Amino acid sequence: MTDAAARKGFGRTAPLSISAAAWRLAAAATAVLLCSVGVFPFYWMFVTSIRPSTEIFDFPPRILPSADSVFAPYFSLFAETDLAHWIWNSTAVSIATAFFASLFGAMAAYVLSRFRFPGRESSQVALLLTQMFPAILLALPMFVFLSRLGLLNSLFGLSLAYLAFLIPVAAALLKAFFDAIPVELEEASLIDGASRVGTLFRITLPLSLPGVASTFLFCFIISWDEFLFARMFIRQPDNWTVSLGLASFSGEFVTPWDQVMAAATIITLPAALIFLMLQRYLVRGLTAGGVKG
Amino acid sequence: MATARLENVSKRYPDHLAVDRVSLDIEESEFLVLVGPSGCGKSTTLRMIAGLENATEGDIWIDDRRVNNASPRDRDVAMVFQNYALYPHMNVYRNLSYSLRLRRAPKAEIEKLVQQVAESLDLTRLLHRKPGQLSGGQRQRVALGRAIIREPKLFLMDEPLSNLDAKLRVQTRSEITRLQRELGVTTIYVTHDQSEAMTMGSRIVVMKDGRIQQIDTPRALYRDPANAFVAQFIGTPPMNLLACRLDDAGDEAALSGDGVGIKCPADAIDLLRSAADSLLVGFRPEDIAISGDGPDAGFGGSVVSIEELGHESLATVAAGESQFIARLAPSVADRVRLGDRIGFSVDPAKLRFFDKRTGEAISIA
Amino acid sequence: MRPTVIADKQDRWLPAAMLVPLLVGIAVLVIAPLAWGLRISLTDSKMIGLGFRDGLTFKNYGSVLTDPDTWNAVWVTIVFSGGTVVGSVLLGIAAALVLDREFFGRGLVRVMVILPWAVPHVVAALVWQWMYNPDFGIVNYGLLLLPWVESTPKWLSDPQYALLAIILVNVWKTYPFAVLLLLAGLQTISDDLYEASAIDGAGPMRRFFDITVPGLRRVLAIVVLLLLIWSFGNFVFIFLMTQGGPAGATNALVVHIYFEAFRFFRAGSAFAMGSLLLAMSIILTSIYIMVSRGQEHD
Repeated sequence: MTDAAARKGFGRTAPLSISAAAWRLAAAATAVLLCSVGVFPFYWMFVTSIRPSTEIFDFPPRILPSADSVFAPYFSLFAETDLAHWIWNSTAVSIATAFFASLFGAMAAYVLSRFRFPGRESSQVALLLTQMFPAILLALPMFVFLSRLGLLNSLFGLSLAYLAFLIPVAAALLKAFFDAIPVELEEASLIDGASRVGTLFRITLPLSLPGVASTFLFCFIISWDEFLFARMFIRQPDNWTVSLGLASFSGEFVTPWDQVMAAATIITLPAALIFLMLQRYLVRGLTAGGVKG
Repeated sequence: MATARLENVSKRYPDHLAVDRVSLDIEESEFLVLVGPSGCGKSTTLRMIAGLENATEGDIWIDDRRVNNASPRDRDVAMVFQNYALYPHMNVYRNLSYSLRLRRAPKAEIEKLVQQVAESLDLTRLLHRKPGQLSGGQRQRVALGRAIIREPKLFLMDEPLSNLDAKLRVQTRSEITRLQRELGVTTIYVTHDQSEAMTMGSRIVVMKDGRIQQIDTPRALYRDPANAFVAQFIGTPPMNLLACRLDDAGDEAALSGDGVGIKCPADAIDLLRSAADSLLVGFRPEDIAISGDGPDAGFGGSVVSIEELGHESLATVAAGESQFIARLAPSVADRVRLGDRIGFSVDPAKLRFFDKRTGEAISIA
Repeated sequence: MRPTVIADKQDRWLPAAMLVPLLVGIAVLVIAPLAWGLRISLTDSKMIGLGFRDGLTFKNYGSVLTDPDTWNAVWVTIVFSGGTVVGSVLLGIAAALVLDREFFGRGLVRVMVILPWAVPHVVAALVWQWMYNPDFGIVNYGLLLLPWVESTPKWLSDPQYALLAIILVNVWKTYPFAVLLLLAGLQTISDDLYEASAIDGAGPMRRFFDITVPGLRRVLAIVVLLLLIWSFGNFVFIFLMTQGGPAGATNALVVHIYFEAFRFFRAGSAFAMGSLLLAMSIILTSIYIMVSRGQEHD
């Protein structure tokens, strides 16, 4: 522990006194408690998924995995349910949404970052506003729109609806990345003989690639996670996304908890991995332009 | 190699006027320096020549072609930026060859030119490094190389030395002037540092508040500043300026003020009458000689501080509202103590006069 | 929209062209639906998706505003959002203070603390539903281990506990966000302040309230507002875990609106309630924009 860090927070200033020791103990206890609260549901999800179905409703429940752990649910899921199909649907929707959100978002973000024009300030506020509406406000009228256009029950329609809030999010995110690229690099390129478009592709994009990739992944997990729009717009099981498929398990007369938890584990994995990869960046993502770093 | 011309060029931003009716003639192969305090419009002027800003009014010509609406890439200019603006994702080789590749030059020619430029700038061993792996001085040389590899019509340099440490800066100054002389490319160089301007420029444009104050050679600028601002901006320490008035008594006119009491040069009397009661008399610190407290001492006061520089000393002398600096040889300075009352004389030919209200020089030709 | 600086000749048309997808997207996918919804709320439209007779009427607003169910939904929304904010901020501050110190394994602890944030909403809803199971759930088992607990609640089906149960889930899911923001905020507070205060003889509690809390004020405001805005719009947990029940105990506005439109097919009043929600979120968002923009000018 460095000196500076030691003095921070509950800090110790002199040799360890009794009260300082108490503070440190409290801090350690808090850390342990928070970690268990954070991790336990994941643990429980996995343990339930591999528990033999005869033991699932044992009470008191066994905390440790059963000696006869079975991975059967992971296979029966794919055989007995449409999980594979839902995963495919979600992947398609999420990739398409993330791609177009990043593309259109990047285009707008570049203009907002590099050019001064009347209405620039207010359009940035508008960007922020559109991300803040409760989704249901858009979902209801959009339901009417999509039904008129014959796009209900269509993954294309769903993707379109996601773009409504993801393009502004992507634009706000990418603007921060473009802002961080010195404008002189582009000016040098313009003088060296490149056009604006050439500069965009030769200088700006290569330098903002990490930002574009993060934005893509961010939009991907938001689409992957989304439930309300999917629930409203997609009624045919054929076109269900993972959220809908998983939700459909609950509310049946007897919930097959081992299968549900197995499916939950499978669906969580990609989202959680991406989330943890992006965690520092996500703060910026979710506050999108509001808070610095 | 080209000429360039600015005619009444202005740049107006929503909240202020950055450049105010600037007219300039840049001659072939010359090294023109734009100098002035920050916010004087020198960089904006340069950027308008480059095409990175649009002139609000006026015309910009490069080689008799009006380029107001031309894109930077169509102007055939090269620019060195203050922060070098090296492309961080390209190695030195690719940075140097970027403009050639954009013009689809043959591979062999690119190779040849890069090697040539790298050699002249001592970059050969660094060609495969990325800018992030280079020292400040090396980056600076790459930036120069990227500009010269193309043999452009104009070199534009925007404070290219201000990110270097003092020693390297002096070294690179002469490197740039050498290159410019060798290549003979017309160069426009922007700096806020007057000593850089003086040592490098063949002509200097002094700017302030968007306006040109004076265009001249370094020596003329130093000797005959067009106004009080230039007098105080050029030279370290700057020209001494003391307020005084003309006591007109026919042929025996005298100039007097705090610390000032000199006979008015006969040929100046008529000219000085126009601003008789608010004049500034100016002289360079080195044009001053201790003359005891005798009657012919034109300037006097008590020494309030002495700055010892080794090869010389700078004595600050105060009298009433006035203050001036005298540059003294060590042998002379040895005899001067703080608080001493001292009189000085200045060769009348070295005296300069300014109208205190307008700041304009009153030239006595 | 003409850029005021045109460097390259492509700058004459390119910026406008590049903004087109965003502008069209916002116009067609955001503004048009919102305007349409507002329009519907002023009609006698019955079935969502069907037409309506022309003419304006404020009948929907009248009936919505006099319906006790609406006010119950508003109350539930406020309790849900407020509870989430209080829980997340308190937990968030505790966790951020712990994580702000350097200790062995800090990176791992940080990941574990943030983990709940990474789980998809539907997964969180189902896992907690399972853990809350009144007969076989691990939560009740845990409660029974405590010596003073004799009977356990039927969490999600007991009107007294259902809202609390869902708030707890929401806190679990959102407090990592508070942690990350507050941690970033803590790191901007200069160590010198703590040292100066320690030299002045301030104890840990005094230092916390005199230095840490004021230093975090703005970040706290942003955390509170964002959590409020998100909780206002949270649909998944309530919809999946209680469907607004039991007896309306968890019937937040968002869920209420959804059922109004899709279970009772009263489009007009659903949109009218939507407009109320819109007004509330515009107010919150405006405050948020003011606070966060203010920060940039520091």
